[in-house]
This record gives sequence, structure tokens and C-alpha cells, in this order.
Amino acid sequence: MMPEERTWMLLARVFGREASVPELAELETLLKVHPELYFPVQVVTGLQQKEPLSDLRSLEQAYRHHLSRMADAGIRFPAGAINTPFSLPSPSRSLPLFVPAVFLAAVIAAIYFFRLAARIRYAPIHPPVSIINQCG
Amino acid sequence: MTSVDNTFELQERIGLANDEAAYKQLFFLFFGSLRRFAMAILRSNEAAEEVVSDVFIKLWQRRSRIMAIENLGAYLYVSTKNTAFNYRAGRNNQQAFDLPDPGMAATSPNPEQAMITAEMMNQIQQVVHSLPPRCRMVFRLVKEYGLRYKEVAAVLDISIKTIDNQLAIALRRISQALFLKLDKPKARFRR
Repeated sequence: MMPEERTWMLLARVFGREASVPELAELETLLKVHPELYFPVQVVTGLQQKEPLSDLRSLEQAYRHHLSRMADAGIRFPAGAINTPFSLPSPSRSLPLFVPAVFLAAVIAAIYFFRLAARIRYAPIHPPVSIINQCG
Repeated sequence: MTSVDNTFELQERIGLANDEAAYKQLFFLFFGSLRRFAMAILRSNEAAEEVVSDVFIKLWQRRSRIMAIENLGAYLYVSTKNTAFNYRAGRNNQQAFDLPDPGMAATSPNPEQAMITAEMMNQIQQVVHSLPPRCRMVFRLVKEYGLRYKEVAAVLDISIKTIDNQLAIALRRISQALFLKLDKPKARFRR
């Protein structure tokens, strides 16, 4: 597979939250060699879905309605059924979303930093204006 | 989003312990996305809720066999799809199955956070519109419905490889539409 196609494939896997650690490392290598890709990567990671906040009240309402439909159908929970209270779990899928996003953000930041550092290193040094005026 | 990491734990608690709380938790976790998915087929909120409720009723009735289900998330989506199609066939409503439009804007991240402007979002939506049907469906199921690859594969009856390809096509077209063409620096790629 051509590197370009491979890059898009890896980006797709990041987008789908299916990228493995070796795939993320491979993408990191590709981004180091081709820093021009960093913006598409930002767009792709920016497009990733955020966990919508659960509306507990509407879920409770929907569940009550569901239970009444179950009751209408003659289905009841067994007498011994466990019914411990619970709270909605924190969005655990934010972890797989979060990890590649942070990883890529770090890669992008590193690329940006090194490019900036290289630009500064090779930039011509101009004396301050006050010194130029004194010489003049 | 649906495939929560503790789905398997809930599956065990329902299947092995008749745990009503686990059943409720599973309902809470999947109800929103399944209803939106059913809405795409039925175009009716009421009918979609009914279909999802039916899916969960069947799941409870068959809980003794729940441990045989390899991927409960995929199972729920496929069951919802089948039940919704049956419902629609019963109503003799044969509209094409396509996911509704405004979902992307509704679930998109904060543009400031994402560095995506409203103009870019419009462009993206236009591109998504113009994608081939299967490609569009894969993109939306992943982007807007938060389905994992296995779930998309089960719902659309396609391979993981196809999802990879279709998603890569969609992302590439979106980037191209945003003038972020990877084709330009093609010469810089080592062949």
C-alpha cells in the first residue's frame, strides 16, 4: 500500500477509535516524515464524536414507559431479581476517544515545536533598533 | 455512544443473575443511540421508541441465552434494524433507509475546541451528502452514532476491511473539500 493510502487508512482507524498502539506509532512516524499532514489530522481528530450528555430524566421516563409495555405483555421481573441502585457510568468511551486524540495532539505539538525551533535557529540575528540608532 | 466497556459485565449480570439493575443500566446506555438509529428507518420518534422497547423486551425474555451473544452492542443494533424493518413492512412504509441529516451538527464538538468553524462544518456536511450511499452510511454510523467497527460491520453486513476503506475515502474527501489535499505533496512521499 502506498504511504499516502496507508496514512488515510490509519487516520480512518483513529477516527473510528480502532487504532492500535503500533498503528498510532506508525502514524506518528508518517507525520514526522510528512509534517504537512498535521492539519488534516487535526481536522480528523476534531471531527470525532463527543459523548453527548445523557438526559437522565428522559431516560427514566423512557424506561418507565418500557416497563409498562413489559407489564402489558405480562412480563415481570422475577421476585428474586437483583435491583441495586446505580448511577449512569461516566462516559467510559471517552478514554478510547481521548487517548488517540491526546497522542496525536502531542505529535502535532512536537512537530510544530521542532519546526519553530529550527526556524529560530536559522533566523538571521538583527541587533536591537536602539543599538542601530546609537551606531548611526 | 454505545459500546461501553462494561457492556460485557452487564451482559453477565443479566444472563447469570437476572440482575434487573444491570438490565436498566444497559437500557440507559443504549436507548438513546438505538432510538436515533431506529428513527433513521422509521422517521417516527414514537415508533422508534416502541421498536427499541421491543428489542429490550426480547432481550430480557431470552436472557438465559444472552451469554452466547459475542458482541451485545452489535446484536442490539442488528436487532433494532431488523425489528424496525419488520415494523415498517407491517405499516407498508417503504421509504429508503438513510440516516437523518442534522445529527452531525447536533453531536459535533465545540468548534473552538475542534478548530472547526461553522463554514467548515457546512462544507463537511455537503461532502458527506455527496458521498456514495455505503460510504456515507459508514461515516455517519461511526461519526454520529458512535458505533464501533464490529457494530457497523454487523449492521451493514460488510467486512471490517470495507469499513476501513469507506471511512478512509470519506475522510480523504472531506479533507480535499477543505483544501487540505494530500495529493499536493504526493512527490514528497517516498515510493
